[in-house]
Amino acid sequence: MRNIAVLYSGHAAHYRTFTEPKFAQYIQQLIYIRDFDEAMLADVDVLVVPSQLHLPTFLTIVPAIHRFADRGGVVVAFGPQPENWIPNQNWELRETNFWWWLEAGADSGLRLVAPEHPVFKDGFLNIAACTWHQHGVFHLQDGMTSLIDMKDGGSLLYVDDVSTNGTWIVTTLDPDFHFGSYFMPATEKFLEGFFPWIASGKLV
Amino acid sequence: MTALHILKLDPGHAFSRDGRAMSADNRGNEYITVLDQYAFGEADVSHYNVLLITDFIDQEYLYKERAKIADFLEAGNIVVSCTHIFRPWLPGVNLFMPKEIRRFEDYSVTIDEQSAIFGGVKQEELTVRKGVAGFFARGFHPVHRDDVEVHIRFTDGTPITYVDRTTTNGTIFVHTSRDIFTYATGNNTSKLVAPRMYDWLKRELQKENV
Repeated sequence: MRNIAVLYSGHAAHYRTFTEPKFAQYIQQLIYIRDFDEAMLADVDVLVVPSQLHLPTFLTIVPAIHRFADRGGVVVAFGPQPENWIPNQNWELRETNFWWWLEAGADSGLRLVAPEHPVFKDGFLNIAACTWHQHGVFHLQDGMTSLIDMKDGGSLLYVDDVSTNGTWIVTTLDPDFHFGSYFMPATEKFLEGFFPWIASGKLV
Repeated sequence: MTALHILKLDPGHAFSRDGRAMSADNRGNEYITVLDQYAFGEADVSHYNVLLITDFIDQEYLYKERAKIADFLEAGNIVVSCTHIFRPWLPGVNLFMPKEIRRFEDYSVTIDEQSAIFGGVKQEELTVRKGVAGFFARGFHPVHRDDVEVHIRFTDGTPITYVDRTTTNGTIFVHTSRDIFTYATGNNTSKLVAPRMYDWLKRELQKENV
C-alpha cells in the first residue's frame, strides 16, 4: 500500500469527503493546508491535491510539491486549475456541462482512449464512474498519457511521468467537491475506485 | 437608517475565480465588501453589520476565530451562514446532518409564504434546474426550538433556512445551501431571493422584521 497524504482546506466538502471512513482508511495524513510543512511529506508516496483549495495559501506550498515530485513522488490533482502550477500545464476553462444527459443523443463527450491502462484494465475505474460533468480540459504535451479525452479536444484525465522524476495524475474532475457536497452520485463510484488504485494499482 | 455593510469572507478557491453564476464569486457591490477569509482574525470589523459566510469557507479557521464571531453577534450584528456547518463556530447552531434522499422528490421544499425573502418563489425553481433536482438543499442543521423563525423546510417539516434572534444579542441566519446572494440571475422566481435578502437585512438591522 502506498502512503497517501491529502491536502485539506477546512471547507465542508473536503471535510465530508476525507473523513468518510471508506476513503479515510486510505489516507495516512490529512494535512490542513495552513499547517503544511515540507517535512510532512518525508514518508509520503502519493500527495492528493483536491479541488477548491484556498489558492493564495496553496501557491506557497507548490515549490515543496515540485520537490516532492522530483524525489519520485506521485501527485494527484483534482478539478479546475485557474493557477498554473502543474508541470507543463495547459488548462482550458470551459462552460460546465451540467445537463449533457438531457441533450439529444445523450453523449457525455468522454472518450476512453487508453483502455489498456491498468486503471481500467485492472478494473479500478470504468468510464461510467468518471462521467458526470466537466469544468474544462487539459491540452497535453508529448509523452503525457491521456486516459480520457473529450470528443471536442483536450484531456479529462491524464498521467504525466515525463515532466518530472515523479508521476502526476491530473484530472479536471472534482469528485472531492461533489461527494463532499452530497451531490452527483457518480463521484462516489469514482472515489471508490480511485483510492484503491492510487494505493495499490499500477499507475503507468 | 443604518446603512447595510456586509463583510463577505472569500475562501479563495477556484470557483470564486470563474465568475460562475452558480457559485459565490469574489465581486463586491454597494453592500458587500470582500475580504480574504484569513484576514478576518486581524481585521477591524467595527464598520460592518453583517458577516457573510459561504460554502467554501475554512471552518477550522472560523472555529479558531469563534470568539470574534460571537463578539460580532453580541454587538447586535448579523451573521449569515450559507454552508454545511461541521465545526461549532456559530453560537447555538447544531452541526449539519445530510437529508436522506431516496427519490428526487425528497429534495423538495416548502416555503413559508409569509417569508419576506422566499414568499412567492416557486419551490421547484429553487430546487430543480432543467429537470435535475438537488440544487437547493441536501441537508439541515437540526433545530428543535419554537423561538426560531423558519423560512424554508423540507416537505417533511425539517427546517433548512431559519433565523435565530435569541441565542445572541444579534441575528443568526442559518441557510443550509449555497450563497443566498447567488439567487439573482435565474430567469424565474428564484431571482427574487437576492434583492429581497438585502431588503430583509436592512429591516433586520432596524429590528423591523419582528
